[in-house]
Order: sequence, then structure tokens, then C-alpha cells
Amino acid sequence: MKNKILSFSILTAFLCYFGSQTKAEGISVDAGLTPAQDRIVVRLQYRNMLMQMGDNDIVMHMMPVVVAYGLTPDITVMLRNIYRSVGTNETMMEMDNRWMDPFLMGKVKLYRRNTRAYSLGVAGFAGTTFPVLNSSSSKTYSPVLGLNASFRPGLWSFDLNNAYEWVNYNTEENQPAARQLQLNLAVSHNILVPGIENWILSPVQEFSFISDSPVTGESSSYGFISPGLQIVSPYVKFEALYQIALNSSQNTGLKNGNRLILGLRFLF
Amino acid sequence: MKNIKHNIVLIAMTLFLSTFAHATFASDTENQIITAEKDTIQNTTVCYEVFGMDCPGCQSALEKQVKKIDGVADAKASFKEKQVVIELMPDAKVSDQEIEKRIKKANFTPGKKIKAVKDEK
Repeated sequence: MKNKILSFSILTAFLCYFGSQTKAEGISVDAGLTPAQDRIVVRLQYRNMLMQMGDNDIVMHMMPVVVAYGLTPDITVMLRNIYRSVGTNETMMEMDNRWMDPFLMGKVKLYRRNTRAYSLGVAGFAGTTFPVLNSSSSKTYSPVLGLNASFRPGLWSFDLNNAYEWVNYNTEENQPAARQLQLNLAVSHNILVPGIENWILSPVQEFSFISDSPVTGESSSYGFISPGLQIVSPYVKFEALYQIALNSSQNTGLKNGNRLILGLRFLF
Repeated sequence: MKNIKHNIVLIAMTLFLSTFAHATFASDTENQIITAEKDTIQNTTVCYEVFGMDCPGCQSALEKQVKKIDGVADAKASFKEKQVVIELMPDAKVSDQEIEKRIKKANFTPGKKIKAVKDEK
């Protein structure tokens, strides 16, 4: 047990050293299900994000690294860090290439039922970014609370994520810059690949809704409809998702464009 | 006098060679018996129904947990068959409770024990 704690501490320290935003959208399978004890999941993603301010484009390449560990069957800890690379920036906003602040999260199993016909799981989570790299706009935390549910009847999967985030919570002023509600539903279906044992194809359709309530200014809501595909093997998952922006104008004047997400998950 | 010494040396060499030969052949014979015994030692395979697996990733998670049990030589899980087949080491004593505990640690639910068979190597 001591070795496990030490190993995880070293891993955490490593990622903190090299390392945000918490967003519900973007392939949220396994949402309400906590992984097995001692399970280590490493997820590497590439996100190509297009945003517009007037006629000016911003293209960003986000590369999140996520490490999740099953501390017990009921508790999962997760650390995420994102490297941001700015491709095109035609606006006056200052943006540079850098590691964002790390995000640490804990997920707790609240309910799980496995039967021959289906699996049902509900899990709650709490997490926050830590301004250890001073890369957040005002050196603040962004705490998030959420509730996830997963329903797996046969070869179908339904995963619902709900999260409420206090964006850039300023501890001196005792208030966040904005409050954000994020809802995300992912529906997928496993297709067994004939002739290839232990590999499946899993087309996925995600629906994301985000409601942004800043302290000053008007609230806004936007979302994404995201078709995607997963290829799953016992130790590796490949994920691809194309997010099509809906009602894309934010109150900040930024307009969301479509996004491409490519990911790899390694399961140990 | 020389003949007596010569005879003593011959007798000693004969005794030494016969003892060495006996020891060598006896050892080989014993090894052959042990090898033969090993070849006929039986491994026990047990199979459990497991609920909650829905993808190949779940299979590897369950296999990792079950392989941690002392006395388990190998484990193969199948989300399609909803079962795990566990091969035990020779003479291993693994309780059903220990296996069920490991299945639960993988966040799955153990069903009934489907079969207990002995496979000859």
C-alpha cells in the first residue's frame, strides 16, 4: 500500500512539475462507472479548436494528458494537464504556448448495479485547478462539482455528465469570474469486429450543452453535436470526435467553431 | 610389491567409477521420474459468471485483479461470454471467496461458478 501511495505521489509530482479548464464535453464514456482498484488509465488527446472574434480567427491545439488511478473500487483520482499551442491568433488577445494549470479530481462511486442484462452506475466528483504554474488569468482556482450516470444495456452505452464550475474563483474577492453549467450526453453502440477477437468498434454520438453566467455581463448558452468513433482493445482505446458548434456566440464576443478531438487511452 | 600397488589402484578406480556411474545414472533416473511426474501434474480450471463487463477494456481490468491471487497461473475474461476462466497452479488452494473478492474489486459482480474441471497437461 505504501508503494502504491508513493508511486502515485511521484506520478502526481511529475505531472504537477510539467503542468485549465474543466469541460464536460469531449468523449465522456465511463462517466458514472469507477474503474477497478489499481487500474491506471493514461489518456493522451489532441484537440484542434477554432474560435472567431469578428472576422479574426484563433486556432488552438490543445493537448491534454490525463492520468486516472483506481485508488479503491469506489474512489478514483485523476490528474489532468493541458499543453496549449496557439496556431493562429489574428486577435489582439495575448496567448502563448504553455502548460496550463493542473486539474486534480476525485470521483466517488455512489451506486452500481450489474446484472446479466445491464449495468447502471452513478458517481459524484469534485475537482479543481491549482494555480501552481501561474498560468490562469488571475492566479485563481476553478473548482467543479458534478454527478455522472452511466447505463449499459447490452451493447448500448448511455453516459450522462453534469458539472457545475466556479470559473477562476478569486479567493481575495470571494467570488468567481463566472459560473458554468455543463451537461453532456454520450450514446454509443459496440460493434463486434468479425475475425478480430477482443477488438470492438464503437460509434458514439455526443450532445453537449454549456450555460455560462459571468459576474458581469449577460449569460449565454452554447453547445456541440459531436459524432465520433472509438476502437477498443483490452489495453488501448482510440477515440475520434468531431464537435459541431451550435448557437456558438459567447457573451465574451468569441464565437465557437467546430473542433476535432483525437485521443489514445492506455489501460494498465 | 608393484603388482599389489597396481591391483589396489585398479580396485580403487573401479570402485570410484562404479560409485560415480551409479550416482549419475540414479540422478538421471530420478530426474526422469520427476519430469514425468511434472508432465502428468494436473491443473485446475475454474470458471465464473461475471456481470458488469461491457468492453475489452473491462476484460483486462478483471484479468489484472484475478491474476493477483496467489495460486492463479492465468485468467481469461470475456465480456461477450460474461465470464472469467481461471487457471490455478498445481496444488494451489484458492477459495471461492478470494476470487469473488477480486471480481468485486474490479467493480464487477460475480455470478455462479459455472464449472470446475481438471485439465491434464
